[in-house]
Amino acid sequence: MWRLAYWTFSRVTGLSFRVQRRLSAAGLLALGTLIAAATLGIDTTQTLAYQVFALLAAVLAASLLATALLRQRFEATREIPRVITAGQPFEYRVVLANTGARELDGLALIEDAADPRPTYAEFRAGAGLPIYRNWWRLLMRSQVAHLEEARVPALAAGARVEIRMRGFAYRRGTLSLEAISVARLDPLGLSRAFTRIAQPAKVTVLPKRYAVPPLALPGSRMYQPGGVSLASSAGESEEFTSLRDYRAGDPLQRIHWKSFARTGTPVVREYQDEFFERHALILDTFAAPRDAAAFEEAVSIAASFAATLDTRDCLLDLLFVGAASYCFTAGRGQLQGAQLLEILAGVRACSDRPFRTLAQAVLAKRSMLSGGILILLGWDEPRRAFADALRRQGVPLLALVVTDTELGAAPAWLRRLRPARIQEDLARI
Amino acid sequence: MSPPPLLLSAAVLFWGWQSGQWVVAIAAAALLETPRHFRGTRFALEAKDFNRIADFCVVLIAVLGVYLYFTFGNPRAVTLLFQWLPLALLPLALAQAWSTAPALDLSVLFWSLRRAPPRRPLKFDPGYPYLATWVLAASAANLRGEAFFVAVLALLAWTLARIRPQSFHLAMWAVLLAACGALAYAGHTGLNRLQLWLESAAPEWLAGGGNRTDPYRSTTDIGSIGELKLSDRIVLRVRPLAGAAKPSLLLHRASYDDYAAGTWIARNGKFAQLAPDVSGSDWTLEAATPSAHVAIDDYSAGGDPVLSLPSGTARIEALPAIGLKRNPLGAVQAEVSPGYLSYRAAISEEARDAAEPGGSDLRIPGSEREAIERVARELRLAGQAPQRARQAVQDYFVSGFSYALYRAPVPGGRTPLAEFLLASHAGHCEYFATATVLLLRAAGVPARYATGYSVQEYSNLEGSYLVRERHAHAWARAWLEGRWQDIDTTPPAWAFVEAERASFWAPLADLAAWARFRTARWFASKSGEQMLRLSLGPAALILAFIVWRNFRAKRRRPAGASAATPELGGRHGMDSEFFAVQERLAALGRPRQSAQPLSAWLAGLSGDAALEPETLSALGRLHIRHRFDPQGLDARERDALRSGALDWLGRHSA
Repeated sequence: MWRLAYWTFSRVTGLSFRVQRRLSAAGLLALGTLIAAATLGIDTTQTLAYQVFALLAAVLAASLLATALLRQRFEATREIPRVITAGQPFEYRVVLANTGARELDGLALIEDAADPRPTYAEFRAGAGLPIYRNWWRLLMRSQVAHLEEARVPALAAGARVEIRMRGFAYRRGTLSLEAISVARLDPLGLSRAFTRIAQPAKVTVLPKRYAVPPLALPGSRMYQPGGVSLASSAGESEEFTSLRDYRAGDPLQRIHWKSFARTGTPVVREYQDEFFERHALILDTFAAPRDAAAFEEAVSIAASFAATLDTRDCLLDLLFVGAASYCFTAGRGQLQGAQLLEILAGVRACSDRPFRTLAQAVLAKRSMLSGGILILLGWDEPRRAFADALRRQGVPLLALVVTDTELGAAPAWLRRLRPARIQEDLARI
Repeated sequence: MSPPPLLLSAAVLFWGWQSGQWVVAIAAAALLETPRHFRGTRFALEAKDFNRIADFCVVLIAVLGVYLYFTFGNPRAVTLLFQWLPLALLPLALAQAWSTAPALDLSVLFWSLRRAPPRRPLKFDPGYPYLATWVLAASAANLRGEAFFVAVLALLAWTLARIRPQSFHLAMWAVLLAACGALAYAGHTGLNRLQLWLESAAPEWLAGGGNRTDPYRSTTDIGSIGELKLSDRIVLRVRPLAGAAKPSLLLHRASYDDYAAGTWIARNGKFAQLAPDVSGSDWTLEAATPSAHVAIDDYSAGGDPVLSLPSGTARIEALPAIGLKRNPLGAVQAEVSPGYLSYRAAISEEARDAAEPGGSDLRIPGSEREAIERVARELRLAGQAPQRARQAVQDYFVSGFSYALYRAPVPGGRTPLAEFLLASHAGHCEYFATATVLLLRAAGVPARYATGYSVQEYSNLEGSYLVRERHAHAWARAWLEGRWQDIDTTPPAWAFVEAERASFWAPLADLAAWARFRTARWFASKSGEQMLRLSLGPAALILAFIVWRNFRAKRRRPAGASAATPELGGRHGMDSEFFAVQERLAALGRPRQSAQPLSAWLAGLSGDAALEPETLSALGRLHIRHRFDPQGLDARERDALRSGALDWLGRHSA
């Protein structure tokens, strides 16, 4: 049953896509009228709609035949940004050249994105019931962006033109583009012939972001083992507070060889012990399939904080569990906020590990943390125990739960964010 | 893309020509075309206004559909609905034509999109789809002739010329279109002929249902292999009136005099027009004194039906037909529109039912002669008196013959009728009727093959006899004692066999059919003016419901919910009415330059007092806040922006 439903839905979607791509707007209207005429004119003695049917069938057939005979040559190059943001429109350039020997018009530029149809495994896991509505929901969810078709002005032989392509990113992830297709209308203007120019590209779609209110993160400076070397660069650093004579037990790597050579006695570099504010941005990725929308909102909220918090004077650890427990640090000499967004663009829900994996990873770092922003997807016992444990160990916490469910007897410090009204609820923090 | 000027009007006038509704078409064309040529008043309609108008159109279509279904029944109702569909959609088309909106949101047509808006707005220009609706509606008028095809081809050429890529030569385009036209002409002619051929080749029950009678030809199922099946659909309602205890068992529709290879043909079947009586609705068939009356409620899907009449019908009363025709074989055809029709049959024992017999009423086809003569010899029919011959034939079929709907393949070298007479002795009514006619002819009695219905089921619910499609029957008519008499040799068990085949949901279907029949009769009893008066009440109720629903929706909407959630880079504020003001100013010769700040542009207008610069400035501030202030406008300010902009637009036409 599932296999049959998948096979049917997949083919129907594919056919619909091919028809919409192959026919122009006029062609689609002709096809719709043809179907209506066939229905109305089924009895040729009762109406004359069969004559409309015959006429439209003839022009559509001629139009499709003509496109099979059309030949044209183009070259195209695409200049597209490396990253775009979900929930926002974007633009980029394509330079198109007519390398044929004739002037051409009735042209349009179309991006060929990767096939958005869910795999059978995704359909089985995410559909609930094998009905078309659920298939359609999954299909829409897997579509990363909408790419508009761009009209191309008449192009003389050998001429080049710059086309501005527009699109709208629906969700975070990776937008995979495979080729640029140039569509050319047939003489009747009903269907189109295509020239496909392979131009593979991948664009990272950053998570949608909300306006986060000015936030005074709680917590105090904490000792950061590694000192400046952590804060300014990877490995040894030339930044130090002073030089002093060698004492037994000092590591050889800290010997300042220039001074040793000048004075003849071993001199070592002395580093200042660094105390930074270090905050954790903890993202709960343990989402059931039905919580997919809430999970996306949670990622958007994490991205909003990652993009907004000033990491020039503090460190921000992004902690979540995916295939493993991950910790990415942003701050001076570390990752930039924008890089955290790229990481968040690829975060997936974790279904094969328990929540305690995240709790253990965070609690192992508790001694370094000044405070934390905890973004949860529910308020069950493991999550409650985790938040309580952090608070008991003196980690100041901004705890947010993204859920539609009323929390009932939740503590006052816990904030609920409703998926449909995130911005409104964030503004109340 | 919108249709070019005059194209849509041409399609509307084409509809008017095909349907004969010239006045309506000219008015609709004028209303649709005027705004394309005069830059006068336009209405700044919002999405919700279009939604209301679309809802009104849907209600209009539903009411029209119900009326047509009950008045004409399917499939005629579907055809008529298509024919009037563009007029039901006219309010929406006019609203768009007279508004400032260049395109409509798809949610106007689909409620599902209103409940769950798509991720990006789906706009469409209704011009060309509306044009296609007019053309399809014109086709539903079914005005036969070559002109329809030529006109549709011309409209198509006009449309395609607008979208033709200029890089292809005009001559090439014209040749291609002409080739398509020729191909389509051949195609539609072939389609029509194919259907007619299929209908003539296929069994009658398959080709068009039991109540469609061709008075010139009756293709029987003699020789068909397999099982016959007819539906339970009620086709007639028969009520005995004064003088008639029960209507005649058989309702005659048509008779045929020539048999060849499974088909009965009316060789002598030319119709002659009858003149009505003074009343205009009574028609005398024969000068005879009626002794009883039967009321018949009939239904005609395609119009001009062959009437179902009891034997001995001398007059047809209360039939509001344009004309009435009768052929020498006794078939009576009325010229009436499709739909329900009622009439009374006045019966007289003196009526002969059809013209006197001719030579063809004694002809036996060569292919059946051997079997018929063999049976005639067995029955010793030769030289017998007509009444005795009739009795002998009837007796012959009573013993040893049975009713069967299933037919096995016939062995080679023998016709199906010969197989029935000489071997199987089992068949359905067409076998019995054909064999009876030919045996009577062998006995020298003029006889014909008659088709119609058998009356056998009384309904307490309706208080009348119900005639179903499966009651379709065939029998013989013989010229005895100076009049045509019905001779039905099919074993009486056939009625039980057919009744056993009734579906288990038949009572429910009958109840629905009864409700529909009563409604249709009620519709038919009202004049156009009465219908208009009666429809005003429901229309007012529907209007009140729409107003109430909108009012309730407004009240339910929580305060502040109208302000969309501001998101970074969102498209908030795109619904601002100030954009229309901006377009109007551009039309008035004061366009905003690209990249010119709004405030600077408005400041530049301050010297022109006619444009009300203070109002514009205030509206501009609200517009900017509406678009870019994360807090948005509150409800009062939003109303001020909307009403202020619309007022300004009303005062400053382009």
